[in-house]
Amino acid sequence: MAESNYIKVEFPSLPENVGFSRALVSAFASQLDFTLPELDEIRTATSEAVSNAIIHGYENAQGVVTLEADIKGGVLTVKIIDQGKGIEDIAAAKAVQYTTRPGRYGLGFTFMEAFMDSLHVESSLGEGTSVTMTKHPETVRPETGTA
Amino acid sequence: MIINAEKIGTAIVARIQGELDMANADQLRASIDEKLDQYETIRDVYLICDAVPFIDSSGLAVLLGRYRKLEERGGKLFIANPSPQARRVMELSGLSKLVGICDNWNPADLQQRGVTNG
Repeated sequence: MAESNYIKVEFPSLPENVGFSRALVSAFASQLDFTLPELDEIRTATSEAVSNAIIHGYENAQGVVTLEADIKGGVLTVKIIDQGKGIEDIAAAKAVQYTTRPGRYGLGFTFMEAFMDSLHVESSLGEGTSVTMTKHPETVRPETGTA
Repeated sequence: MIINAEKIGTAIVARIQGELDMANADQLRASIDEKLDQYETIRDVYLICDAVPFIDSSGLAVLLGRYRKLEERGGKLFIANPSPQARRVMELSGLSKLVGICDNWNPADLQQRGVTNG
């Protein structure tokens, strides 16, 4: 396996690209020894981050979402970037069932936090938001003793 | 997403195929609500999810909304054969405590549940 690897993709903020982005990240993440439930977790977290960029960042208007992922030292990092409206209060946005829209669940950040090892959000009003998440496979292979 | 929804007695049974996210959440919402608006006698909705490998919070929001609509009618939402991923997010969101989850779904179960054809 390569020591490090990365992908960088840009796509318009279309709902159809939510499924594309989680499939892409899942396929890339498969270079590490993630279990199927772990890949489901990565797919879910990616889906939430990209949905947030489209719904909240761009408020369903046209924009560009940048997806970066890399693998370094056995750890997957996924970064979702938008140049949308930004988040006023990141701590409030991360609260369980916080939502600014009726008919939404307010669970996006909850899933990202629950399913990934780390979640880091940077945002500036009027400039955009970037969400960075990391995860490493939990499975320890007995023959090598490494994760 | 492919949705085949039919009215069976006092229930809607909808077979869904595809991953459920913001790209098709509105489609699922509309297809169920159309039948609920059309037939006031409908109490329960069964979503057969064998072929739904993935649901995210956009999909869960539609399920929660239908649960609330059915609750107002004195009915219930049932999710049959959820994938491991769907079960996990339903549990984490608390939705699994509100909806009925049916494993090993069999169409004959409808008769046992008192839903008659007609």
